[in-house]
Amino acid sequence: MDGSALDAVPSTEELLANFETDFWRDEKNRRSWNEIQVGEERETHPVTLTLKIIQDYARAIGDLNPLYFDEEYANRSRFGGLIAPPTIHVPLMFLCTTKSDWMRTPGTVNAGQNWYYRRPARPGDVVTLRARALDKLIRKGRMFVIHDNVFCDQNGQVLCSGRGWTIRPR
Amino acid sequence: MGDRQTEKASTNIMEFVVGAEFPSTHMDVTTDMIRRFAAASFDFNPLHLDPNWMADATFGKTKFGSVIGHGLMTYSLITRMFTDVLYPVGGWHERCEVRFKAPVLPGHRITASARITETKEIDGDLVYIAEVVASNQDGVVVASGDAMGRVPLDAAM
Repeated sequence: MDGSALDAVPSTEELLANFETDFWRDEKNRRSWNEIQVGEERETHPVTLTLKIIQDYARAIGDLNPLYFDEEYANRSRFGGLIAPPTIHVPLMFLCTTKSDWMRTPGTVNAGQNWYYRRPARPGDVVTLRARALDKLIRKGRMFVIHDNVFCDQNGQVLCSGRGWTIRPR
Repeated sequence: MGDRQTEKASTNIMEFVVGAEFPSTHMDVTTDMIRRFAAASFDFNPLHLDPNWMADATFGKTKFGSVIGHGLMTYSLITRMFTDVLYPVGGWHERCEVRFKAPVLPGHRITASARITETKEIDGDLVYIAEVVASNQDGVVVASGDAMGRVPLDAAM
């Protein structure tokens, strides 16, 4: 990522304070199954990953691994410092996308996911997301979209890469 | 799980051989827990939060009748099962693929389990493939798939 893109990174505090938690509110601006364009990139923005995001998520999944909480322990580990759990891509997906992103459509059901993990995300990383719809299909009356997500850090190094299936409510 | 594996589980060490099981992880699902997960994951889909809507909403032929847990909450439970074992021995959780088979509802106890089905030595690492299942207290499979990870060869046996 070049310097100008990093200048545009919003403050995480502002991002969290302004996060729209009512997923109904922007529903009319979101694409339906028929409107989702295969191959098109979803709108995303970089997010500075904070220790609070990491630890709130780790607590919510009952994962109190010292690599996420104990700085001295983490410093002595082969990671050389605190890291995030692999599944930190879950909050990062919502934080890196916009309120009109179709992944927020109420009733979107997660049918399956696969993720490949290259390296751990760390507090302070400026994380970017490239996200697309890859395919759409109908099976037994259900409308599916297959998407992919690739998360990178501020050096352009891939953190993790995933693909998922969602069942679309409309 | 055999006695020997139970003993190994208590020290967070296991053998990385075909047939070996990872010490299982579990979670007791409540509406509060789902709300906490929603807040921490920023996934505020009303599927997980709005009992009034979910009481009547239909999804194709499916009516859940209740809020449901996030699929990625179960996925994270599965992931923790692997990192709990791998991180202390210098290993790495490399890949996980699951399909969500049945809804996770408040009141469920979800248990994740995994068994190694294949191993391969690659460049000084022992790479394994494990089959993964998460089930509720009635034995209904809510998620299944497979995972891949690696440990340094000297930590694998």
